[in-house]
Amino acid sequence: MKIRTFIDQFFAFTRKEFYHILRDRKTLLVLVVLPISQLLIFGFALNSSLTEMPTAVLDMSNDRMSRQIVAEIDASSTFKVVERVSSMDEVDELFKRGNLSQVFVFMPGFEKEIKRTGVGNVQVIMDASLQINASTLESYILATLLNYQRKINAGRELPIQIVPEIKMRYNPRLDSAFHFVPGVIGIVLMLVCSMMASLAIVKEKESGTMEVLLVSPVRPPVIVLAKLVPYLLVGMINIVVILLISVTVLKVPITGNIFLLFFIGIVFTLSSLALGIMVSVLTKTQRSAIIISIAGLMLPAITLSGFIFPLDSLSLGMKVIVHLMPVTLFISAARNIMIKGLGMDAVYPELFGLLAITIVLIVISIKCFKNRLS
Amino acid sequence: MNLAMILAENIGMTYRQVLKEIVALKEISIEVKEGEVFGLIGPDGAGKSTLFRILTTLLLPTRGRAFVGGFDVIDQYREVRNIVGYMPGKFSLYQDLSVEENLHFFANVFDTTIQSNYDQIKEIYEQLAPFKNRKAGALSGGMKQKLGLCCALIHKPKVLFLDEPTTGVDPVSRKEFWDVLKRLGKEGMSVLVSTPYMDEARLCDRIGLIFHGELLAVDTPDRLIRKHDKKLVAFRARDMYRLLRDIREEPGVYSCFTFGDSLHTTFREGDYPVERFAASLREAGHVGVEWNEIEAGIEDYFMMLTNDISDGTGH
Repeated sequence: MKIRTFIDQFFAFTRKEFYHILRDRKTLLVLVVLPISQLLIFGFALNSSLTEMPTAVLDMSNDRMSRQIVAEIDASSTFKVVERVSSMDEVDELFKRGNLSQVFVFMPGFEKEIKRTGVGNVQVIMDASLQINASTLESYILATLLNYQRKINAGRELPIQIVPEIKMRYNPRLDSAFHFVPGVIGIVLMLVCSMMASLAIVKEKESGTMEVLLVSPVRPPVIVLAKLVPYLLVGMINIVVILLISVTVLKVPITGNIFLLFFIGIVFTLSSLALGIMVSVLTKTQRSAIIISIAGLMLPAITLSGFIFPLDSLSLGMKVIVHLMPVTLFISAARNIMIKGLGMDAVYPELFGLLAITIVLIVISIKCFKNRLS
Repeated sequence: MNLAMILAENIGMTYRQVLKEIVALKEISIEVKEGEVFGLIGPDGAGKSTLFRILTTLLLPTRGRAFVGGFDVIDQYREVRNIVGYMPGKFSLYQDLSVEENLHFFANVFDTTIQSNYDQIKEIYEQLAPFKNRKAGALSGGMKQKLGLCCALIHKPKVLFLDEPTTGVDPVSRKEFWDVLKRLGKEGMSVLVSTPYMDEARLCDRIGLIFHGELLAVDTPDRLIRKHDKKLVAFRARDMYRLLRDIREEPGVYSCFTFGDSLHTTFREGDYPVERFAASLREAGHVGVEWNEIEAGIEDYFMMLTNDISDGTGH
């Protein structure tokens, strides 16, 4: 086949697919709103309001400023100072009893230090075993201290700074709170992309348009590849929206390179689409395509991708199998970039894995594309 | 003019299902020449669509061979797909695309443009033009079929396959449709068209009567009608249902079918005394019995042929 013919047909198909997507307003709405709502539901759980969290104070300075800060903390609805202790041993004791959320520690000479350098350090030790709470409380602590800082800086020539030094107990890396978010991104993206792609081709088989397409010079690669383009664009919009929500609503810091994350997201989207397209090529009805993509793709993705259960405990054989799922690779890469702040060096195995899987899936889809009706 | 553009040799098709086998086609052989409009006439379920799908490379026959434009539909399906236009029985264009977008799309698929082949579709497209921005799904039945024909013609196919193109189409549009087919045939295109409407059979160059997967007869419409050698009489009375039952009970009657507002009846003997039979019907209590001898049509011939296969009641 001539290259120009191929390109012409490809563009004609792509344009047609865009018409399909843009004119089916309800589906488009679902494709955009579904990921947002999923993330927000999760975000809501993350930001559940916390009030009167038991707080202890170890004030070794006991000066005007430290007392003011303690009063400020006590006055907020989030914290309640339940105990004043005099040594770190007592702090440990309280944490062990399990009825303490955090302790504020003022080192001796707190105010003196501020007057000398303009900076005061408050140490906060938190019980991070309830990860979701810990990350939220952290932001409340910051807000409370900033609030106090603003108050005393009013009318002051040299502004002073109160810097909290937050230490996590029991779960210093705050594992799952943020670990969960890349997982949700992966699952949500896959849900949207695989599902919509799994219907793309089988829909034409059901409506009868495939019959006309088959009796034409158009070849399977054109049909399969052109289906991917508009969906990829929808996927990219979803990635942007999801990342925005993650940062603004879920307050997940993206410590690594956001462009690298976006790029891996695109490759992952492509692999999810390829997975859906393969289902679409192999099925005969939209109903069976949906059932296969839920039972065959989504369930393993949720349970075996490391989204919920850690993969460390799996046997070697299972590990290999689960790493053949694009979503496993994406979640691992996204965690490395978002949370650990790692760069290209750390994620290239996942990136190449995703690319390889995508190519294999697309080749399978084209090869298995039925040239006849049965 | 003697080139066989469609050649089917002993095509057979059996669908294998879990517990039973369904024979859709048995030993079908047809030949359609260049520039010929060939009509495949038969009731629903006769196997017309299956034959279309085999000839358009969509299905593999279980027996026999077929060639379209000289290419084998099994081994050279790609070549076949380049030279044929196909309009399936079910409306198969994109309902959410407008008339113009559908046409553009199919022009691109066939590596051509609307402009370069406009003369081919002009006649039909001019009727569609006022609706060119309307979604295909919102068109009327006739308009949908016209659009389907446009899309099938956009690349100037050598062979055109139309599976029941006039089903569900109003009489005026049907006539326009057949005018186009006639013109296409004159221009050298081979057309295989199926229809359940017997009155359209006369408009074809040749027709094949298909019934239960079997081709009963192939000839020009005129010659087929002449093959109807039985005396044919149309009966009418007040109570048509009772009349049908009573006529069928008469031993001298070969077949009797409802045909429009009368009952077309054939007799075993050419010299059957029809007036005496009519008198006996009146005696049996029928009111307003009328009869007149008529010329046979394609449908009468079809009924005569199928009467031997079925039990005389059309089933």
